[in-house]
Amino acid sequence: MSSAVQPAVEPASLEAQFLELVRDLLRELGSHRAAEALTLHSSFERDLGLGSLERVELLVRTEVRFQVRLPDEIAQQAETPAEWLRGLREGGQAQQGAQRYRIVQPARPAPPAPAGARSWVDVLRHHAEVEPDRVQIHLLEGDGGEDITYSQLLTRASEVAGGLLARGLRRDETVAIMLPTCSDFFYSFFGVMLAGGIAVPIYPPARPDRIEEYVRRQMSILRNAEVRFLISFAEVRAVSRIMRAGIPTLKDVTTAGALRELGVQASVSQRRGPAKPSETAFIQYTSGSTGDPKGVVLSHANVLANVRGIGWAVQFRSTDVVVSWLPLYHDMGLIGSWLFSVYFAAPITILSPLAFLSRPERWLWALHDSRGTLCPAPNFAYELCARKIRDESLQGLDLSAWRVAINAGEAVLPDTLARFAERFRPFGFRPESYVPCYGLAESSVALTFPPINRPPLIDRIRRDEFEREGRAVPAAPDEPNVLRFVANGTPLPGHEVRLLDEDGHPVGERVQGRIFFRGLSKTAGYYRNLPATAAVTTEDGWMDTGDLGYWAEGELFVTGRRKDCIIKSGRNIIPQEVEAAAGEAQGVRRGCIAAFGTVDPETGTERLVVVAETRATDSSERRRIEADIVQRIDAVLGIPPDRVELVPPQSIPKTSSGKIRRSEVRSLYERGKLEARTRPPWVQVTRLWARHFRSWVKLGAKTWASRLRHLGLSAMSLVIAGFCGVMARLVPGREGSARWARAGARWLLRLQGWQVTMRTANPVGGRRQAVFFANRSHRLDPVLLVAVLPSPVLLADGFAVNAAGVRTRFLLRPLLVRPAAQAQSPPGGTLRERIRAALGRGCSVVVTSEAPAGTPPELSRFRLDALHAAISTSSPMIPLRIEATSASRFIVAVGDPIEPVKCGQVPVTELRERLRRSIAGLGNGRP
Amino acid sequence: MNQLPLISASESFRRHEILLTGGSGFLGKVILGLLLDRFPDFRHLHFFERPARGMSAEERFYRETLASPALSAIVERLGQDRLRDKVTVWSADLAHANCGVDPNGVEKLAGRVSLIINCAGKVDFFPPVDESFRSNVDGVENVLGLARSLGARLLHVSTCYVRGEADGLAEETEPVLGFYPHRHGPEDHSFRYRDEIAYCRERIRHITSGHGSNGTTLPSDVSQRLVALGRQRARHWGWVNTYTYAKSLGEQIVAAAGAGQDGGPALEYAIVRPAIVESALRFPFPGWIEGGRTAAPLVLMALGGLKDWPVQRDMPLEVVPVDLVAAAILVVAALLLEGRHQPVYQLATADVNPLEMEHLIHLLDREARRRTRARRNGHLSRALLERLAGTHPGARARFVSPAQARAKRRRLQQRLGRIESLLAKARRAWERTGLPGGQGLGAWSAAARALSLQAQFREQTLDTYLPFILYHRYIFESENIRSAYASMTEADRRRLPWDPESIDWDSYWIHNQIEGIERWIQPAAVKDWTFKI
Ligand SMILES: NC(=O)c1ccc[n+]([C@@H]2O[C@H](COP(=O)([O-])OP(=O)(O)OC[C@H]3O[C@@H](n4cnc5c(N)ncnc54)[C@H](OP(=O)(O)O)[C@@H]3O)[C@@H](O)[C@H]2O)c1
Repeated sequence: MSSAVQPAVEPASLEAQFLELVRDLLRELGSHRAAEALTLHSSFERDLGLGSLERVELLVRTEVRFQVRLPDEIAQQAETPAEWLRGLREGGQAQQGAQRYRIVQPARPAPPAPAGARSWVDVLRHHAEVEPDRVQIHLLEGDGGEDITYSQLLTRASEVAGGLLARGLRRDETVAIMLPTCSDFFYSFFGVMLAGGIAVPIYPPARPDRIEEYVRRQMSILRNAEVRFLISFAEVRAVSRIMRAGIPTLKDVTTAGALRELGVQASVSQRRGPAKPSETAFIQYTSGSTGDPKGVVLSHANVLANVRGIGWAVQFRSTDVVVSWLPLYHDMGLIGSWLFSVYFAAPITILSPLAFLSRPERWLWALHDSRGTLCPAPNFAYELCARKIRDESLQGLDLSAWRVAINAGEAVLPDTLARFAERFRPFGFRPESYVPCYGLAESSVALTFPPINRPPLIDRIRRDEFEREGRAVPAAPDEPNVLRFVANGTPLPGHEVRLLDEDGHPVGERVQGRIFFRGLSKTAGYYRNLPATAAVTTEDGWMDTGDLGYWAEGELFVTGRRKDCIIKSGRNIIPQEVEAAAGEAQGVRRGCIAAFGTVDPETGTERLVVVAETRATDSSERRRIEADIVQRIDAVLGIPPDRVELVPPQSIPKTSSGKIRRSEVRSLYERGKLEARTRPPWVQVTRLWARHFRSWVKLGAKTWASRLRHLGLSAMSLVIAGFCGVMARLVPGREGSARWARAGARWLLRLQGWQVTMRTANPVGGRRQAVFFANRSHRLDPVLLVAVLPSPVLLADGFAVNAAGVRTRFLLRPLLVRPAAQAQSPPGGTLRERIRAALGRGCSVVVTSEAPAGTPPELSRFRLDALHAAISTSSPMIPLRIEATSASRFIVAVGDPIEPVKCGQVPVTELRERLRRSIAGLGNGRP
Repeated sequence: MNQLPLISASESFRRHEILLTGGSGFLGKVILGLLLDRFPDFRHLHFFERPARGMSAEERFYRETLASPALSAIVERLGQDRLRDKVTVWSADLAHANCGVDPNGVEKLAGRVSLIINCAGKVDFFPPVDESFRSNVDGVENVLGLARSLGARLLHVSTCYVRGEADGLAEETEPVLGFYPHRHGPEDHSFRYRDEIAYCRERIRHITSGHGSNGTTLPSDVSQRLVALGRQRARHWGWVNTYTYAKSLGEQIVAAAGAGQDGGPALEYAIVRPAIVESALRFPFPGWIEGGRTAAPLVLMALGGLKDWPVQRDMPLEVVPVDLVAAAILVVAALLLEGRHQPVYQLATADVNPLEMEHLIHLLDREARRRTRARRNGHLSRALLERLAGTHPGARARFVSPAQARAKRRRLQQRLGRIESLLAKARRAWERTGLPGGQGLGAWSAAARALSLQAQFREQTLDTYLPFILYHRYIFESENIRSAYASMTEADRRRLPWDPESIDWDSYWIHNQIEGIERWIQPAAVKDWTFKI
């Protein structure tokens, strides 16, 4: 790369020629204004509206025009034509210089997969033991590459683990991995598992000018995941201060390299007990086209089951080779490609998404070079290859080994399948290789698979019945206006899928319904997001995918997302259809169109809105485009859209994987904020700091007024907690202090805006003192309980109180069970004696679980001392379950009292078991 | 469910003769005591004692073992004559074939002894590996050989910590044979105890060749190499020390014999694995303890002002009182005699009544502060220095990460070093003036030196502790012993109580542990305190 080869053009005219090239492209894209205003220093993105795909196009054209080969990064990183030119002058290299990394085929077929493995650590250890020198990953980077064997993977991951442990990572704490496709990702991922932590892969920043949205999105994920460490590349440390301010749990932003060094030095013993299959392996944040991020919790068993299922569905062979360019923070890249290959010991060739995007042919050549047999990709990748690759770069390509071409992750379009198959048939691609399947992060990755070795099955149905009644009636061969869907096959072994109508009844054959599923790969739920989990799970273990589909001939046909569905004049309209039609219009940016429905507040009917990006600025041009869109949609759907909104490029928000975030577009539209544009980086950084300060004052508030209000509130709660705390210490007798503390606790709740609901079958307490046993759900549990339980109630142990803030500690300390007067050693008597003394004086006592918050209630840890004390004073034991239904709403469910049985009749451990069971049972909506 | 008749230990012990090894140890004495005290009409006990300190086995038994505070009261009650009737003392060393009992003796024992309780063991963590082998591997083979030639069953005392680095829930049903901490599952057959023993013996031979092994002490570099060998073999498979490595080999020898896999006839056996054995809860009296047990350094460090604890707050410390262990062993003995036993019994407490580190440290801390308040004596110099150095026993305990703890200790050492050198300079300057009173400064620097030594000692001790309080979290399933008790008669259950669920840990730690340690452990033993598990 270092020896720069001069392009065979005069430098002066180079500039002019390049600008001419850009201008041509802009004109073709319909941006005449931009073409005129073009200078060397126009910003590609802001001034010219050239997105990443257009820049790939520009890259290809530049190379053809000047007979050079440019570094890939240029397409994504050069901000202006000037920068691009610099790259062209410096780094341009003759085409023939391109050498591909040599991939050595494995000498032996894959050894049998570890069918008995119970965790991913087992899997890695197994292979590292059986065939340590087997290459697991061929990692392609630029024009070079790197081979990683199983034993290297294990060793380096162990070093990372050692480093994490030395930095104080504890079991089941989360570690975010924010890395692009690189070897460090693999080491970090297994390193976190080996150290007993939970990995949270998240997507790395791709572009410096997207800092704002990027960091904001990450912060909410990292905060939700309560990450302790963030493993990333060195540059991210620059923004780490900002991140740390917003993420209280974050201890450090570090790199895999630093951790490995530390791990080698520290040589901490890093063995932890074998992970249980039910333990969390990692958390997958869904790219979440809609709403706040949701962390899909996946256990070892979930992911193993899914990978085994995929192996069964593709009829894995010991000679199979996997190829993937998919991002590793995404389920298809992480589980469907990489972990799949780790498990089956199939070598995998991995290239970065960027490498693929800038030169899609690299993907195909990687397939060629490694004789790849299995390869998943979403629909747009096939489309990109079919359209964007020049014939010259395909000479000699051989795709005949490719036996499973999975197309998943977004809607599978029949046209794309046809185009790709057509284009690559000469290179040995067979349509039978297509495997269009369906899955979602909530089921690890895959859910249904069609049989392999069969060309895709395409169902042509009549548009009218489908949109009006949701019935998929096969269309006559010559019928013009039809819908086509691709068959997604049947559920993997150990999984079930059912389709329900809006009332929850199963639908019949060829009738559209909501897709529900359950099975081995199903997530236990979203991490620390009970409401979201509850919204998609049913009591009998089914999960709502949010997708729609119908059954036909035993196979599932997925038709779209329910949330996105537009219901207009009694018809179900699929947004993708509308967008596809609008995309045909001259002058709009393909793939940058969003269609959605919005309720007209005046008429109460739904209106169909289409938002499309265009570079056109000229008003007559814009009118023409609008008219074009309306007419095209009308032609296809028979309904014209109610509104067409043209917006400048980059206005439509997309997910990390490039999907349109329709509901976000809708809400932007409804709030009239659609045209907001990317701001210059300095504005973003300033805004970030502003946000940082806001979080510093611990305010979710947006305006100064509410900030002040909040300050006032916290000052007030300080005063109240202080006053009540002092009173509780001053008044004589436990009853008095209990009453003051309780008053204080109630005020605190009120000021925080918290609501606590008691759910109980029979009234609590009455005259008699009792011991309450509560699970732990929140730091402020003691405050909640003191506020709602009948007074006088004391607290058993400092354990829970100590975890809360100063205010709470001051307020509640007087309530700790007090030392028995006569006991000398240990000072004030043992815990058992103190509780007994409190009960003897007629006070109730609250015991909270000592297990860390978040432990399932059936594993609550209660001191046996409390039970012994209850037994010896014949006080009933009352199970309580605290549950947060939102950030500020809590339910305290009260169970039936358990009467103490004299010791010896029932072992005290059995009583504790009963308490735990009862608390666990209180969760299922019992009164 | 329980149609089988209840088992009566008294009945079994009346009918069968028992042989006990390691009876002069901490645990062995309590087993002996329980047998004498609770089952006075047991049939007969054969007691293996090593001659030591110029005493023959017999002499040692009567003058040393029975004279222990744990046993003296019981012996007094029973009377020496009755004891001589009931107990035969044999001079025996497990390191030799037939445990060093001559053929005549073996003949005498044959057919009489129904059960051997093997409670002997070398419990040092990192001894020269050959020493550990002599008691924990060769010793087990020899006891086993003896059991076979006597036609006796074998109760073998091992330890829960054979789990090594395989922390987490340790189940009693996990197969003993082929186990090693890094094992990948039941299909992993890479560990064969016989190959490992042969290999290790070969290396020992190689290292000691030319140094005449029997009895003569080895040059220190050779024993260093033997220590290193043990450490290396243990680490290789994932055991945390030589002791547990050798103990696990011992278990596997027994299990292989039980399955008839070692070429001999199958043998009836039970392996009993106590967790950390600590002071007595009730018997012979609360707080009885002997030797520098595991908790002693912990307690003394806490009372001595250790404030930064690199521990996992919610990790339970698996401690079990010695009398509970002894009682459980006798119950298993009865079951084994009746043929109603399981292969493995774990004796631990955390699966029913865990005591987490956080609670324990706070408890010890409170006690430490109470004591400083109560005492208020000692040198002013020391107290002031302690405050300066941040190790004052009156301060509050903190939980820190190991790295923080290490950094703090380093800073402390530096500070103390600086204080010391300043004091030395001041003292020299003072002496040059020729004024009296230089001794006062001497006391100050002595106090500083003592503090720095203490800090060093703490550092080393904490490092040995780390596997148990920081890295490895074990829960030892103790289901078998609970069901064993369900098949005992009510009377025996009362005689041999196993009730970890009713222990009031606060009271146990304050009264039994702290007071016991202060009473029965000589501070002189401090320097070679090790862990015993
Ligand atoms: N202490 C614990 O925390 C703990 C925990 C779990 C398991 N255990 C196990 O319990 C058993 C007893 O432990 P302990 O704490 O009582 O240990 P101890 O006080 O050190 O006693 C060890 C006993 O074994 C005897 N012994 C050692 N090597 C011998 C040999 N070659 N020949 C004859 N006798 C020999 C010793 O005899 P001398 O008096 O002649 O040396 C002593 O009587 C051991 O097997 C140990 O592994 C202990």
